[in-house]
Amino acid sequence: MRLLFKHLFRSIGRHPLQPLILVLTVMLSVTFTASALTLRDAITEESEAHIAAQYGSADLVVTQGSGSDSRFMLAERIDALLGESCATVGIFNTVLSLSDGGESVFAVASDLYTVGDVFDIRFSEYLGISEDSLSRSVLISRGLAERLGLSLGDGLSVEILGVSRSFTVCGISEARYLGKYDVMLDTRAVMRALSQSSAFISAMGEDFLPSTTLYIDLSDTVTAGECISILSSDSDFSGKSFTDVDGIRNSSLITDTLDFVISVSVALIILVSAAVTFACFYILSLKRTDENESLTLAGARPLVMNSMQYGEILLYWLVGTPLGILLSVPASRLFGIAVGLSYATPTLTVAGSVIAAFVMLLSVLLTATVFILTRGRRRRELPLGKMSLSALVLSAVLFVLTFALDGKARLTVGILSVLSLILLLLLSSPIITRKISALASAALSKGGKTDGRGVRSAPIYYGLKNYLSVKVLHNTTRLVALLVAALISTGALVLASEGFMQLGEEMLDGDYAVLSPTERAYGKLSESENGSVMRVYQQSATYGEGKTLTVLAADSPRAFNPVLEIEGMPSGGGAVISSTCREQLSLDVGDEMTVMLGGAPLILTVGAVADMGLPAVIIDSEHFGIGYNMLLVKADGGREEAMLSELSAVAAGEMSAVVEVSELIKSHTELLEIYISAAYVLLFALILFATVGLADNLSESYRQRREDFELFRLVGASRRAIAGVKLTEVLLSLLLGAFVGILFSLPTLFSLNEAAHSLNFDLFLAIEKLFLL
Amino acid sequence: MINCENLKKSYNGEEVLRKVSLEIRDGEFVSVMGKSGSGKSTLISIMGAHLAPDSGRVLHDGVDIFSLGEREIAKMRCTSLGFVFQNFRLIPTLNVKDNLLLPSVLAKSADKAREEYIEMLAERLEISAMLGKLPTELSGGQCQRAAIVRALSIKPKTLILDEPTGALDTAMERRVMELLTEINRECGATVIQVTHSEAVAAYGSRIIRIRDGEIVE
Repeated sequence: MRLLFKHLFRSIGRHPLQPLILVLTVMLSVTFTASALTLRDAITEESEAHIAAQYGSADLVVTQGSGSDSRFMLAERIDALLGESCATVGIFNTVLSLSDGGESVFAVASDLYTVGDVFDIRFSEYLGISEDSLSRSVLISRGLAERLGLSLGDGLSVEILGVSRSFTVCGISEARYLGKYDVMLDTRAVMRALSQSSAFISAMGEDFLPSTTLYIDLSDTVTAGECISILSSDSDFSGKSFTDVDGIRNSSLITDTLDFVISVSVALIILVSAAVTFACFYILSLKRTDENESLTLAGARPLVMNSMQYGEILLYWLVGTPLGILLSVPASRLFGIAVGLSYATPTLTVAGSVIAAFVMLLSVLLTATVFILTRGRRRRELPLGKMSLSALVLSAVLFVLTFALDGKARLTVGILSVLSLILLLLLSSPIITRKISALASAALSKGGKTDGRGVRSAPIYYGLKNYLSVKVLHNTTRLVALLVAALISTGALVLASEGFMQLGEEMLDGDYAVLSPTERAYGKLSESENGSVMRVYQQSATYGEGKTLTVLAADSPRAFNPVLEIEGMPSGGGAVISSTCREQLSLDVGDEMTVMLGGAPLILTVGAVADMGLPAVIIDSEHFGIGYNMLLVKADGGREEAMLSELSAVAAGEMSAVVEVSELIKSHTELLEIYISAAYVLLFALILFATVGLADNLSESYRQRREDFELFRLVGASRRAIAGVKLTEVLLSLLLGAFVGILFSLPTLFSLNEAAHSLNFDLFLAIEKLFLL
Repeated sequence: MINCENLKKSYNGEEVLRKVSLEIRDGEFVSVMGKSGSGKSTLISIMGAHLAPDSGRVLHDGVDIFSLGEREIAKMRCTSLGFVFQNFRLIPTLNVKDNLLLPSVLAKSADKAREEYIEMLAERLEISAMLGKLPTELSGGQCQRAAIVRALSIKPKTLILDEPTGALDTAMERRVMELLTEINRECGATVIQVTHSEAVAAYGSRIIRIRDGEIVE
């Protein structure tokens, strides 16, 4: 036994670079896996924190509603109706135009005395606000502070609805206020500014604090349903829209969809890490199994030899894993910085570390086990052909099933289909590439260049011959195939997410939006010579099993981006529905569809289907008695400034806010941008790790085959000729691997797409729309 | 002519060759004999430019082979110096035919005539049926014969063989030695072989005996 250990340590010591490379491989694999998992957890935390920031401790949100006449509400009315059973905070959306540069920022006004009853607002810098300074104080986000070069105590001059005002920066928060706004100020400050141009506001006095949205934190004594019932029966709140915040927390379409993208990307990183580890340990196992065979023939017990092989592998894993876990701490932080997280700090968890360590352990043990089983006394070859056939049948069945199922079952089977395709890739890629290279070798022989006659073909010929025989090269090809398939899949997911988000951002085709518009404002602006003004309604709603979509209505299809392919507006009870909704509910033209809008059901008849790329329905708002909640303004070429002036003047008189459409969208998409950034970071990490892993594998495999190439040198091959052979082998591995990877990425993408359909996400459509946009 | 001048070689402090000098004329058939560990394999490895001496020179036709660049040595190996190794050193990833043709391909001389010559040699040494097989599928004797054919395939000026008949039966041994004698006689190739067998050594025109790193005869 002592002798065997002596042999093992001498073997290790003879090639000290190999253990180093193996430990490095385990370390990097664990680092990438653990960091990806940590980022995934941080994104979830960020999403939850975002929702918490948006809704605070509110249980119910009250907004204008589709049929309500009055644009504003009073929080004190809620207090009067519900008493001590709730805490209510009202917010007033407005837009501030910055005096320098004319940039506009989306701002929120609230009663700063009571906003903390529902929202947990934290400052990284805070000056304090007194009663005297209340109406001159402004709170800004870190992002805005950096953009404008502002510090605590600095002055900020703005225009509020056409009225110039100066404020002092009294607080800077790392995150945006309520998850969306760069600026927060007291409603009194806004009303004071408006009182200069509005006699009505002036007459209402300083205690008039109108709100566009109310956030209600209910006590345990009353439920959301009871609260809605009480408020709906009051004239001030009838026709308003009530949203149960729990419903928002539990089903968020956009984040569910992007969550799917992140989860798949993380899963692919884990898979690639395991594959890279397997590929590197394959070379070690090959060498050790051969050595052990000689020792076994000399009388060593196979059990002892196998135990030593496992022991050596475990040793590398034991050294590499803690290093990888340690390295993943700064790596995760780096990922978090790259993604731009506002609330969460990526923190390595025990679960993440354990998963990373366990996956790599399985991978290294699998390598040794495969060799011990196949190269033992009985010399069994792994029946790759039969295993590939079984995997092919399984993949085919699952692939077909994904098209046949709906909902969660489709998602599950879709994911299983992807996994089975990956298994098929791993099993069959050596078979496919051997076949192709054998055909190439035969063609080369037939083509008059028999036996490598001619200078140029010799390295190619012998490189090809080597490729046919050397299993290490097939393993490299397999790794390349997996990497290419993973990169294409992740890349497609990232592009689709971008498309998905951009569709949301660019759904409406306009330059400016007027929020909380009045009919009077529309009347004044509809005659504008500076551009066109359209009335638009846009609101989130739910359908089916808690799925969310966007309900849209507009004066004309010109309000929508041409990419959405909306040709005509519906009339009566008909609706134009998106193809994703149609597929989700298996609807045809003429079928009925129920949408829950503001807690009330809306029964629609499918009139037409459009490839909108997002789950949405377009309705005839007049038929359903739904008022428009926004004016969409498109300025004529060269008349943008004139249009803006006109809008500002009209809006100021109507207490409406004017904002650039891009700014409006930006305020709603911060969380989505985090998801997209995370997807890009994961894609980049995958590319980086794939490159390092492949280089690792190639260098290790060539080090091990040094003796083989020495044989070429002994019969007269020059270094250049040997380099040519090696280059041919590498190119063959890369090109054939890429070919197989691309081949498998197609059904994989289809499976992913079908799985994504259960989340209202069409990958191919989103990518198509992205390029059209 | 091959001249070895004052060759010295040590492994781990132990002297294997001690100031060995010898001269082999063109066209000679020389057998090098000695006990195991006497330094004979080391000597021919140095003569074949596979091993560098600690000191001394080896001149092939007046040229110090260890002063040549790597490309020149490679060219020498595939055009004028055939070497048969004790452990054959066939390339495991190529079939036998590819192994036999390899030096010719590297020397850019693998034409039809060369192929026919190799096939003739393979026929003579009874390995024609093995041409499509990998070295791992051959017996030791078949590998040895393949290694000999590979070395002969380039019609070398100098042929160095390390125990060329160790794995062969008597009949095959005779055939190999007859072939080598024929090549030496008709092609004028210089043949240097290491052997334990007096019978095999007798095929040569001169026997060099080496003991404890020194030439004694």
